[in-house]
Amino acid sequence: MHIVGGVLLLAAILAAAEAVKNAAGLMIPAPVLAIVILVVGLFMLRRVPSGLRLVADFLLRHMALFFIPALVAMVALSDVLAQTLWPLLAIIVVSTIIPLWLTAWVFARLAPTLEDADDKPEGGA
Amino acid sequence: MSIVNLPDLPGLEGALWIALTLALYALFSRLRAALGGNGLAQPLLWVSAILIAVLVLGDIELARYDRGGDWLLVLLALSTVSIGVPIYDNFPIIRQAAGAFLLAMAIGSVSAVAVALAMAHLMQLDAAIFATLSTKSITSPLAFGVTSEIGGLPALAMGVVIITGNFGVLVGPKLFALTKLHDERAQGLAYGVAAHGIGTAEAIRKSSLMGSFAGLSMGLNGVLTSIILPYVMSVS
Repeated sequence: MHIVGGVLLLAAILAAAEAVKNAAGLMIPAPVLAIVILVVGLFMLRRVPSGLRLVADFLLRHMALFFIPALVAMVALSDVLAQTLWPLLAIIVVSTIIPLWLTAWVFARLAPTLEDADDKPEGGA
Repeated sequence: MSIVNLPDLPGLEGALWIALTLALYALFSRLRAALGGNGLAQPLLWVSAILIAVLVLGDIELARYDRGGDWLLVLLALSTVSIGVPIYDNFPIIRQAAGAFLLAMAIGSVSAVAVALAMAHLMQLDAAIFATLSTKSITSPLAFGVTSEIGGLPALAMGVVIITGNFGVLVGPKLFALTKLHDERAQGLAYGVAAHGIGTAEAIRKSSLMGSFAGLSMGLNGVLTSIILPYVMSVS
């Protein structure tokens, strides 16, 4: 029953996010809004229910699997890609490497050092 | 409605596509483990490439794969919501570095769009592709809506975001080793900003701390960019 409870919680939060999104006419995708609702909810609860922890650990560990259909769908793009493939790839390569490095570098320069990792509440994954 | 009319989902074919996808994913996950977590052995990339090859060579319509694939996309939505758990777990650490987090995220996000648009301008790509590239800093579900808003090509935006994510995950480990950026927080933040959902998925696989930074920066950056971008593009 733990697992059912965890999935139920995630599905209910996703449904709530969809409802809020439609009611307010937001451009934010529902799953992103649902993250906010979940975090706020966990702060009010002050703990992660064990069923939710179990399901979330599984889903997060295999998130790459769930992206596969989105990647396969690119097969429908072959016309556009064939026309501008090389310029697009060049742009993607450069405009990915630079922000990847820059973001990490700026943070590493500015952030206070991680004092003691034992301080954090017990976490999964 | 009689019982005979109940939809036959996923049906034999849909079930076979799910099975094939899972089998390939399991195989390539083992392969990566056997190769000591080598960055080039991304199951997502290779499994998708094989499935695309199967669809193209077999002249099979995407809609037929999606009879199975749609089930996995439902789980993608649920696993995206789950990112809230590591964010909650690591909140004290995130709050401790909040200022650095926001500044690094903003600089990284602006640099991604600026570099992409400057290159597109130099290569004289057409306006629709230019508009599409401006959304490359936003996570895919967000990019879809924003792109049509500013006159780009939504399907291409998804493609660009997804290739970006894969490439980021592919070069990330080498790049961070080369530049000696070992801080897990910094790496997670960078994956979230520059490699979106796929980067976040990879960060979570590495550690809960890295994943929480990636998830938060992906979400925050995506939301902020999609609010700001339509205004910027309408001015320029």
